[in-house]
Amino acid sequence: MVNVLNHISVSKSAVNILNLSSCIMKLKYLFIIVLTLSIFVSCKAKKQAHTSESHTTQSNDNTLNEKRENIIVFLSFNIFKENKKTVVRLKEKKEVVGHLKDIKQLVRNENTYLKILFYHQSDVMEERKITHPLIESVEHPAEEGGVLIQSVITRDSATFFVRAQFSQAITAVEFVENVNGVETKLNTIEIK
Amino acid sequence: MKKHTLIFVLGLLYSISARAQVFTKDTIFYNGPSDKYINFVVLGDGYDSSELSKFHDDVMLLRDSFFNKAPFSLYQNYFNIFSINVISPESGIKHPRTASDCPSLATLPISDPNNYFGTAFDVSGVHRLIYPNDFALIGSVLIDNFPDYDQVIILGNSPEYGGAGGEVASLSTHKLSVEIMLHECGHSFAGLADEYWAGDIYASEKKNMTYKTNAIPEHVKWKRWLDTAGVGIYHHSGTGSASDWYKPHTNCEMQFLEREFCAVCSQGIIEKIHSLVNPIEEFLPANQILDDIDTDLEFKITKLIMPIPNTLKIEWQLDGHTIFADTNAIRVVADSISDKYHTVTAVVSDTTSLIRTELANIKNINKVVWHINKDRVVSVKPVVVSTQYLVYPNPAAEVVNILNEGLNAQDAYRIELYNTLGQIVHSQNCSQSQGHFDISLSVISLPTGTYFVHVVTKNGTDKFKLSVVTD
Repeated sequence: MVNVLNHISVSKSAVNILNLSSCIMKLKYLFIIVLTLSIFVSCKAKKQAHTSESHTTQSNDNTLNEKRENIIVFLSFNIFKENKKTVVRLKEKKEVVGHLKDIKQLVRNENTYLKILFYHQSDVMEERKITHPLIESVEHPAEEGGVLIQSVITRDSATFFVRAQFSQAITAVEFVENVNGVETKLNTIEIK
Repeated sequence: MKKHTLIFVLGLLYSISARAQVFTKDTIFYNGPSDKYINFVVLGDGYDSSELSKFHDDVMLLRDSFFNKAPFSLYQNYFNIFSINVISPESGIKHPRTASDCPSLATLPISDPNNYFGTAFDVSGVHRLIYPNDFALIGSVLIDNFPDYDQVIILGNSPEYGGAGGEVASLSTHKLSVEIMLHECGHSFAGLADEYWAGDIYASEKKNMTYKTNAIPEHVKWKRWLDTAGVGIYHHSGTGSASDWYKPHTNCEMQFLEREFCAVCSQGIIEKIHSLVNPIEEFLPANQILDDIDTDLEFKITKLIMPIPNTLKIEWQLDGHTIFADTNAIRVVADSISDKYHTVTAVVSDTTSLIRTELANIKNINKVVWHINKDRVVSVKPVVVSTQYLVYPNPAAEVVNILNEGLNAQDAYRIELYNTLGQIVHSQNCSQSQGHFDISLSVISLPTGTYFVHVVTKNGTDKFKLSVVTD
């Protein structure tokens, strides 16, 4: 009997301990969530402080209250091979107020590059050649003696970005790749 | 369930915060506002949160080395340099030691730190090739922190020698790595070619590269530099069509690192700097259209961006005729000019001996024009203040009209139209003999796109953009 009572008593203690443990776990979760939220809010506040110091404002939508010619459009893309075809996908679009100077990207390889056509409705605003992100010619130092050489970095997938500034909104971008002098039209991406 | 909720909340917060990549920014070298100066932005990779002061020091060393070489040393007042304090989770850049030319493979450690942009040595199996991995992330950091940058450099936190020039310039903190940055600026600023033979696919007409049919002393594009400071007409050496292509020098920074830029390349860099930066930063009166004038007027260039030493010359013109030179201010006495429309122009040109152009003083000129109306009846026609040109319609479908009331027609020699590839698509001489510059161009035969109009005048070449929509 005593043994049974002891057993019951032990079982009650175990239940209490389990309840206590569960309660501690709940508090732990609550604490982690509150802590994470606090860090997040503090980071956001810090970001806002930085942004207010910055000379630009930015937006992820089309709400910038500025003339289009004062807006830098930033587009980043994923590019990859799919069934032996090159595919480009929009990764991110951002707009900021600013002004771009006339500095063109250097396309080293005259036979292999990616061509981007920026559209407003059906009009091509600009046709731009950029280095092909999957077949990129880069220049680098050799082992010694101040000598430079060229190498080609080939990849199956990559990311890249472009900046543009137009008096009208970009409504679509079309991609054409040129590999060893062979031109292939790729996909067109609608830009909202 | 609770765990799933927690993971969801954390994931959501991470994904939101991951979009915000605003880092602190240090000003390394500052001359003025970013829209008026050339802005270099240095992003660190492989600097953890305890190494930001080291990053700052490394960028300062980079700055000092960069501005130690001409012509950048002479034109440093045209530049700003900023560093973005990108914090990597771990210190260093990746070095898998997988390149076949990686020395001492047995003794040197393999490193694989979790750095921000994935910058690594041994890219494509080449030991000294340092390159970042995630370009969209680089772009995202730039757009969040310094969207109007002009040149970006990725500085990898490693003392080993290496670097690369491609989509961006990337380099290590090794003292010689700055040479890669200088060489890449030769490409990105001046559009200069390599003066070593890289292969047929890299060969094209550039300021310092020309095909054999153009490589004769009378016509070569660097003819004004021939037989000066080692400039000549030298063919490339190498495989393929190397011997068909020519260069101006045999020991230029565009061929070997740790050299000086040759005279032809220096000129190319300076001309590009001038095309990006107007040295006339501030002037008075700020208003360039002055109506109902009945008192004396003082015109003044109040802030000029000057090379070191200063080679800029200021010339003052009244109605296109030179009236003063080498002074930064003039006074126009109201009674000395008749009651009609006048222009006062300050022409700032760079007289450096490092530029030898085909037409003397035709390049590297900037102007500010004030339009004065002494008439009581004011009838100032619209002007585009920045260039003094009125271009309409723009975009143009059939004909574009180009008007400049500050320019005498007889002072304009030629008008040229370039496409975005830099190819000339139309050129015509300006045959007007009197009146102001007012010309119409037919664009109906041109493909839709952006074009650059160059008006070659006795005082320089004025350039502006034109959109053509003919489809």
